[in-house]
Amino acid sequence: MKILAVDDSPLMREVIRKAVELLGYEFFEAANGQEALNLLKEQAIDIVTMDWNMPILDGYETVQVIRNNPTFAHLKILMLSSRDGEMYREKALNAGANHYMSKPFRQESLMEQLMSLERKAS
Amino acid sequence: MLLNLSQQPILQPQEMPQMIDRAVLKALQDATMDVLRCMCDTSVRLQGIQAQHWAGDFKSLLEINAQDDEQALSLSLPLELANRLINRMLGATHPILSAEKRQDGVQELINMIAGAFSHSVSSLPQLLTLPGALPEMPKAAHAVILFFEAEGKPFSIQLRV
Repeated sequence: MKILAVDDSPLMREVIRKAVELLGYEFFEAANGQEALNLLKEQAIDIVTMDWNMPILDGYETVQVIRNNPTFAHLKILMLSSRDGEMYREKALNAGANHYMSKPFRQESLMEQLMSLERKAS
Repeated sequence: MLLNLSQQPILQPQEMPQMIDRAVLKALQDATMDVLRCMCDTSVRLQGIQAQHWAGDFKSLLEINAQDDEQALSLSLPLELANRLINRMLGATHPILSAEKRQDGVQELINMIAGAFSHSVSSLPQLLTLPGALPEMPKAAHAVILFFEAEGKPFSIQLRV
């Protein structure tokens, strides 16, 4: 299982990496949506964790781009954002995210979500 | 002047004409505690609350702002505590963090606190709209500071009102 963490914070990517490695998944990272789109063309990624606020191309726009490309139809997207609230959750899900988690989150919760998305992906 | 959350009204020092609703301060307290419990696996205790003029910085403390149209939050952490909290976020025990990593981590924490706080207070219709003095005041005139303790070290979070 290949997981791509998209977040402009290197520290948050490291936090996500810990959870991914504990699950025994392969970890990839990108600092913004554009980097993520480039990497998706090179790697057969299964699950993306997507931050919302990022420079160059933010998470919301990136999800829309991904969902408009049939090549990535299989991709599961977990939106991770400090924007808390039903409005943001709905917006993310309507754009095509499979799940929405607000920061802060516990490592165990993130791992559970990744495992849940893995089951849906397989 | 230190104020107690149980006092009613919560804040009305003489130089601060508007009041702040108790629920607003409780929301900020809860947001701070939740974020540090979740991300840093550490417990936090509220030590006190103080009203004063908004201060841009604290000497020798790390301070990062998260700001939107209406509010500003400022988190002030001693460097040692910042290092400990960020290490806890990473599940690591190595005490040496680069300045960039520490800055990045504290920025993430304040972003999360601001997000959780904004979400909580969005359901409070009376937020910062009490007795009418606020619109006439210059922005950033006043602040409320919540003093906390974590890992045996003090830190504070400032809310500009």
